[in-house]
Amino acid sequence: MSGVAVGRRASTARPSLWVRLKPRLSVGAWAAPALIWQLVFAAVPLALLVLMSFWTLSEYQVSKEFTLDNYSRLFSDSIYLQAYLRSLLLSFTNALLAILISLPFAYALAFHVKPRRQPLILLIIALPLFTSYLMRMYAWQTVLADNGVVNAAGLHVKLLFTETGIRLGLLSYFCTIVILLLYTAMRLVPPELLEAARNLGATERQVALRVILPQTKLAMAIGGLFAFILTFGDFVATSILGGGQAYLFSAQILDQVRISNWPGAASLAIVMLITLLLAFAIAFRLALGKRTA
Amino acid sequence: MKEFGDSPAVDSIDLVVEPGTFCALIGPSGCGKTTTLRLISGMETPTSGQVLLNGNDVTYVSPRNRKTPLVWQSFALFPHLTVRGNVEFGLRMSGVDSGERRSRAMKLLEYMGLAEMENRPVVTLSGGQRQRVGLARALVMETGILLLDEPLGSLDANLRIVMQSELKKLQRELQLTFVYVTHNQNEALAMADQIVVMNDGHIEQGGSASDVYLRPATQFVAEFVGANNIFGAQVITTNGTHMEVETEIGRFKIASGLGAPDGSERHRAGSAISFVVQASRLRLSTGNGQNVLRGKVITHEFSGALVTTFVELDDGRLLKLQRPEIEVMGREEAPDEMISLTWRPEDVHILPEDR
Repeated sequence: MSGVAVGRRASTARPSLWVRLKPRLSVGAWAAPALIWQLVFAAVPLALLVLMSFWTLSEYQVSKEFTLDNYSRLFSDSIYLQAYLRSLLLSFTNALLAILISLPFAYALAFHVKPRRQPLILLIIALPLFTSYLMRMYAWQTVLADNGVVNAAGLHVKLLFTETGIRLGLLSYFCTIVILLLYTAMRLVPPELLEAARNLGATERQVALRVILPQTKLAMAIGGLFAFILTFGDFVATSILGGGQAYLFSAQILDQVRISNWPGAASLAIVMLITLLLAFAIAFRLALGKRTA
Repeated sequence: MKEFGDSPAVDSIDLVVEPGTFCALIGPSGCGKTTTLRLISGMETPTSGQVLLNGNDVTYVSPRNRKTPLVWQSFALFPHLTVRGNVEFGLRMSGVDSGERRSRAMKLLEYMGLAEMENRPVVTLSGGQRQRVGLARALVMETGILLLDEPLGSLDANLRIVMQSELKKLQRELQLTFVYVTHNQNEALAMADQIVVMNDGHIEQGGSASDVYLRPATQFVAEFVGANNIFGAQVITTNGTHMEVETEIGRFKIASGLGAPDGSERHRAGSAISFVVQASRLRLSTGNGQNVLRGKVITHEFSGALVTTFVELDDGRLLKLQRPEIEVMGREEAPDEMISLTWRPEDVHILPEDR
């Protein structure tokens, strides 16, 4: 006979319902606070938003009559489409720029600065995040203004109230976060992989491009996504540094709210939400999709 | 010599590995065997001393120009690449065109039995398959030299045995020079032509498997390799072929010929020596005659074909007795049973005293 019998006879009956459910329930209990929070403050408002986007506005009164007008208007009136494309382009290029600017910096910090000194540099980078975002954007106003710091330095360029101005303000914000993200991802690359690459004849450049960069893909995607989402939804930098010159999608939502067109604002918000979800899907597809030979 | 901080990690190492040799560096953790390997591969630069490769001084040559591919215990495969992508990596770095890369990689993958998996991501492979990819990735460089850092350390016991014979076959067939780091003496004894026992940053003994196993040069080697009983003694009388020695646990007669490599007689009456009796050379005795020790059986340890019995002497020291399983099983002594042990004077190895 093989096997070990302990006690009388091993029971072959299925464990009771309670025994089977208990581990799941305890997991559920741990997750409950976050789940309830999300349900009350995210899922329910979102459902209301979707509902409201199909309501009717007539003579500045919202009535709960079902209509598709809010959406059809977005496609028929080119002003919406233009603003949407402008926002899309700005967000996409911002995401790319944030990654391109942050990558070499994070790489230099993670691999060419003594580990002892890295925390100090990280602190210096993160320091602006300790101050209010609004304050920082006003500070940028004084930097970018026609009589501001940049122009005082002899460069005569129009920066404030341009798309470039918005971009500078936003990128200064995003790059810090993207650098932190990429730095963390790079520090998590096993040192053995770098040694293995060098051992197989890779130059430092090849190590960076062929080993570190591919290992940082997910952090790049998340960083880029972050920049994309925040640019697309931002109206602080766009109003303070853009001054209404660049009419962006987020500003349109604000305008609809100002004229109490809640269904109109809701439909715009839904379009924005779908765009961001798509961006999310694309970013993760790029990062986690097919592995290359 | 290589110093980390104030304490040398590796000190005064003099190691020569002939082409086509399977050289194993063994020793406990922290003994400097991995540092030695890293010095050879250029991942560390010695504080003083030289590293020669095929007669050329490569002490300050960067790792990427050394052509000393390494196989890692953790495999260190590139997770973002496929099996073939990993094997081709080194060739790609040195600009070999894709056609040649592919054919060289595939040749090795076929040899390793991994050809069908060429396009699989390495993260989907088992441990043994990953280690084969690691081997192929190093072998594809065709340098004739392979450095292996505990390559079987992450594999389970059965797979380790299979991979041992595969590695040995590979090394023979391709006439490669292997420098193989392991803490597992059985692995080294089974595979290596040259075994280097390291301890505390220096080499204790280098030689063939039978050298370190049968003729340990130092007490450390005697303790680390095999199962040995070590005795400290003083020579009482000597007649050229045999000596009578005095130990804390009695007088014994031992052969004096072993131990001195040049065959000369080195031990005189009064000199202090250490001698070793292998656990497998001890045998049960009736209790009469010379070289008899009495002790209490503590426990039996079964490991395959051999049984190791631990016997405690009156003064508390433990002796190891190894017997074939077939002689012991079913009639092993009960714990606390008193038994007598003996050995033939010729079964003794005297540690060279100048070490």
